[in-house]
Amino acid sequence: MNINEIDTIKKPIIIIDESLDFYSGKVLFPEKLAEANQMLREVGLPDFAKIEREEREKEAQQNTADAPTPTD
Amino acid sequence: MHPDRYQTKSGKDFETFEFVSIGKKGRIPKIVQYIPTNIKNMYNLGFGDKLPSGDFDDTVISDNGDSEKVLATVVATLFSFTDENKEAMVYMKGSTASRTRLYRIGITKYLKEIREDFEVFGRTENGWEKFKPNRNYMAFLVKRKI
Repeated sequence: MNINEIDTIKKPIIIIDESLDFYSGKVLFPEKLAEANQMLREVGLPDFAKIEREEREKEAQQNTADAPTPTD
Repeated sequence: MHPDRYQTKSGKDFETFEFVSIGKKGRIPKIVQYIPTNIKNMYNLGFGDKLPSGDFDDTVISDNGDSEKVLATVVATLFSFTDENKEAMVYMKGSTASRTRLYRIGITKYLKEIREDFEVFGRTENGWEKFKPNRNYMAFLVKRKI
């Protein structure tokens, strides 16, 4: 097995560098975070259950539309 | 080093990642940070250049000719971060419209891999919907599948 088979995008090899612990708890992009908080306050989270339900309904409608018309 | 991604370093908490973009403009250190928002378990993805001064800039256009490799590296950090924080949701929006578009391109490119482990949503003017490739979204949210 070569290293690229181990180092996948889903399980990348990450080198631990303790110098990066310096940034723990520090906001490196404060404007971005403020904007995110503002947007999330205005729009909120996705209604996951509702979106899932709507997707299933769309798929069901699509399957019905694609189904062959029965002939006698 | 993986041919399609940059070698990445992280602190012990897997919330701040660093890698070096190598291209026509030379070596440019990059930072990816997952920082908690005001909503429980919701993190904001911050991404930008680490400047020689020690500051960070998420608006600069590096133009190093390696955007695909950079995107792949950022996607890899998303997997690493959520491996350590399985309940985390990640909100991402570019600091500019073109960066948001770049995120969309990255999500679309790796959609198959991402959807195996994440639910992906895009924000429109009407609110959130399940991510569809090539639609213009204002922001994105990914949530690890249970």
